[in-house]
Amino acid sequence: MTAAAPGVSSGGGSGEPRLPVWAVEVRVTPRQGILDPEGQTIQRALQDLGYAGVESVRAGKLFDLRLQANSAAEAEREAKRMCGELITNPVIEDYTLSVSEPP
Amino acid sequence: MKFGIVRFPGSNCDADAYRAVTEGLGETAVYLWHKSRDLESSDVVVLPGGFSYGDYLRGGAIARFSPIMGEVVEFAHNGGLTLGICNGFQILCEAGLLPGALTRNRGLRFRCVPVSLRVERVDTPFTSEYADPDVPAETFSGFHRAPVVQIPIAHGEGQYTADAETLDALESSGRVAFRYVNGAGEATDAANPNGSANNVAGILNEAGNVLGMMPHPERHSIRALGPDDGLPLFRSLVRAVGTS
Repeated sequence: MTAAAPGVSSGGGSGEPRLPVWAVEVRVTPRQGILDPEGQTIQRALQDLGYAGVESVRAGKLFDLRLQANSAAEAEREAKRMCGELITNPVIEDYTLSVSEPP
Repeated sequence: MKFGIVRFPGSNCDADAYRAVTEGLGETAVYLWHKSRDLESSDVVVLPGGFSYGDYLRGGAIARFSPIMGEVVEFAHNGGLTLGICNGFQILCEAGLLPGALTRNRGLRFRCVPVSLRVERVDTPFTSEYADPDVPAETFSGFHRAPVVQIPIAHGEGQYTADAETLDALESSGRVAFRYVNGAGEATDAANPNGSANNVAGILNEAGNVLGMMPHPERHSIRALGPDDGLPLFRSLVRAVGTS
């Protein structure tokens, strides 16, 4: 592991104040227009069970992060960078995220 | 002539690629560990099939950050011949060396089956040997006169997807290298095993030195084991390196 970046608490005995922790929820779904065979299969299964009103299902993923940051805005900026770099593939996926104080 | 075959944790077609090169072709191959930053003077880099990093997150998403990938990207940008097979194709897309992405197969099934492929171009470093009259291949009777070859697929996430603009660019610049077809060489929906856009099975980058394909040519490269329709691909690379 590399050392903590400046301004970010190591959480150990360094004496630095610990930054507030934020709960970041990232919801990833297949992009509109991208075929979602998993969602379609679930939709058909629901219809077979008698839920005739199910017009569409999109199946996605949820990521629950705990993130140290000075502010909610900073946590959001950093989470968006993570989404662009690794968590999502913008060619096939959309995402929304929300930041809140952890429960 | 040296092929460098990258091994990620979870690669499982690395040995097949190695034997295709050493036994099928009679050339030299080395394994390149994912943590290495040295391509060991390889003439061709192969990213083999498998389930690197357990396919966690998305196929190829984690592998693209392996130390060796920095070298592979630089090698490819400098014109180095780079072949990504199956999971290797996914990694090349995630790394931005090829456009588009590979998603869950239409029908959700993992498909492990020999398929017919039309070789769309026989003037690339990866396919020149398919033009050889000695290669046993049916001749496609359509406008391409391209050979049709039998090569197996084995994937759950091989549906090629890209936006309309990207697909148009690939088609108009002749960068679709292989297409799923029926026995008559026609790219029908029934012949499409995974729902790929335009029946795309393999694509080239703009410079033509990077090929990604879902089918496994290395599995059809040793005559004693059955069909060897994949071997001309490797022979093409030998020829390309020899003449460069």
